[in-house]
Amino acid sequence: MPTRIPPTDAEFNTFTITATIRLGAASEGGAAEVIESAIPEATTHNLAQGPFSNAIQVKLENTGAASTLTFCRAGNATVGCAPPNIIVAPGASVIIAMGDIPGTGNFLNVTNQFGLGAGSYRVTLPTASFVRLGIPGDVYVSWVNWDNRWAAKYAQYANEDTRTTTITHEKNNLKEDFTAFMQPVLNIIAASPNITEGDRTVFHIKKRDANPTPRETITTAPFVLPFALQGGGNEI
Amino acid sequence: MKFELRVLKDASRPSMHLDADGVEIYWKIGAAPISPADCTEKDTFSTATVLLKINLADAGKRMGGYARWKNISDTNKSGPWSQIFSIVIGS
Repeated sequence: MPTRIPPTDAEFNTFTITATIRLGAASEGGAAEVIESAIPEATTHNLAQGPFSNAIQVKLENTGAASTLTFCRAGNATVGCAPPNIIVAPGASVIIAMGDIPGTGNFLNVTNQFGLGAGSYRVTLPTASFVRLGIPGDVYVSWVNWDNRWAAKYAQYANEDTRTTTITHEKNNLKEDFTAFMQPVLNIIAASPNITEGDRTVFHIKKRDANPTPRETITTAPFVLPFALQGGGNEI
Repeated sequence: MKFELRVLKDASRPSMHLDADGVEIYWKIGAAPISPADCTEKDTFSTATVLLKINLADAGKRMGGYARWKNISDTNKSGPWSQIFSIVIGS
């Protein structure tokens, strides 16, 4: 059995954060999701439900001729996009990172404000990597929560002013519990038909060598150093 | 007896050949063997450091033998025999 070397705190930190960002980020070459619809005036539509990675790039298009549309992130599907928001004029489009869209929450909404007439939109959302890899949404949410808890606890541990024996134990327990949570998720990723080389690098998942290389004939002889050991022993 | 086997003569520590599963040692106590076929004892080990139990009655006698890297699954790919080694068994 190979010996499993636990990651250092720094490596663990890098892994959780990098991996979480990657999971939420846009898929590599994955098919984008396009949402097109007409939207009556004084109406809000929900376009997508997160959680979203701030790195996701979305394209917001106003395909209407008259009404200006506003886009925002909100706490639920029906909250209208009052300022601050992203304003897209008729016929215009914006490509923007999710993190740059004003508002907080896991819902991407669009509002056609009262008095502007009917409008229409087309929104292009890349598939998130956790979807591409077949990870259930609730598991991804749990993962993000783990990541946040780890970041907070590790920050306490890394600061000598806040580090205590209890904090250290909590940090170690968190790491152990997260590792147990992670293993089935890594199994899902490893078995996914959509896994990419980038995923393998980030998650340290090696590709199985299905074509073993045959060993060559050995052409060199060993150098032998014999030692005469002194003494004796008893065996019962 | 203890044997250390190295791939390179000036290696700092024992090591196994990358293509070998283990090491095969043939030896003879008493008169020096003239070839591996002349040896009376043999064994295969999976490590590059080998501890060999010798009868106490043979203490003080000379032991000689040969070693080679062993490919267990395909013996034809095993390496050539080493030069003869010779040592007096400790008491």
